[in-house]
Amino acid sequence: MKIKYMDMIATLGIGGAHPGGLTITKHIVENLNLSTTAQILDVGCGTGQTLAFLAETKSNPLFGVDQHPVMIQQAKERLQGYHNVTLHQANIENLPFPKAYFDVILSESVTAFTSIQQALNEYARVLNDDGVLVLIEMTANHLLTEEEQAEIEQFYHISKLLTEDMWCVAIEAAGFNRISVRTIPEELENIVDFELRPELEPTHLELMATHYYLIDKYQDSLSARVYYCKNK
Amino acid sequence: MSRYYNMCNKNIGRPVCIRTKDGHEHRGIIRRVSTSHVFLEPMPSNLGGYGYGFWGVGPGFGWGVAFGAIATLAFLPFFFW
Repeated sequence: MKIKYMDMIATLGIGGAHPGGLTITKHIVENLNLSTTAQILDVGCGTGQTLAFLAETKSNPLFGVDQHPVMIQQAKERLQGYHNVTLHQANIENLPFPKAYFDVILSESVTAFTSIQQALNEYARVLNDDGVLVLIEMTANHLLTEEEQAEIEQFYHISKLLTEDMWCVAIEAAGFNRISVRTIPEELENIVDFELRPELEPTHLELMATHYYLIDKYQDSLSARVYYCKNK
Repeated sequence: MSRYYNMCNKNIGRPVCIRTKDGHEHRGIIRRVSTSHVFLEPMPSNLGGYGYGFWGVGPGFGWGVAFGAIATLAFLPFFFW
């Protein structure tokens, strides 16, 4: 099997694999003003870094879903002992939860890697009417050429690179009509809070080299946005 | 042992920019270290392919920089999507 970007992240055991890392996660959670009973879902929870932070500071019912077997296994190991955390290996476009089950859904650089509209529709289904959806997602600052889009989409295995306007249209189409968008300060975007494991294979290093090449090449064209979405 | 040895050994997998005393700049991902050298995985070049100066190395064929030749070493800022 050809190793992809996401497999590299999984193999390397990278925790906060999203722009802003745990720092932006903490910032977002602080600003949500959570009640102690709010049910929180971290879609694409990866190795569970965000859930571990929440579990250490909150008694809320916490849920995590990831489709990558290596990541969900690492999350299970990291979070064993926390009785308020439930983890599922599942597809984000088909969540194993009933309608209106959650008060908060977090997607930290996850939705961009899925069938975006399907995933957003699914979040809308499992989120209750007063709930809030927070997305941190790769966003094109302007329309890129087809070649540039293809280069990014192929390396990261994303179906469609979206601009901020395109994200907002997709989010609205899923039924959210209040969207507020924030950028991530550059000094936070480059925070790398993980330990790389020494047992890297040549393929991982090649992927790292191409990944670095792409973030450098597209540093003015791509950036992360935080989308706060509510449906009333 | 060069102070660069520990610095590089602890940061295998990270992108780095090394300036050598002869004025050359080497950008790549730290692949491994020996007692005398740090070996780098080249970044793809803007011209397509993996050209690196006269070495003409490809992916998987890193090149070594002697610790003694290093003038400055900087870790390049980056993040994961």
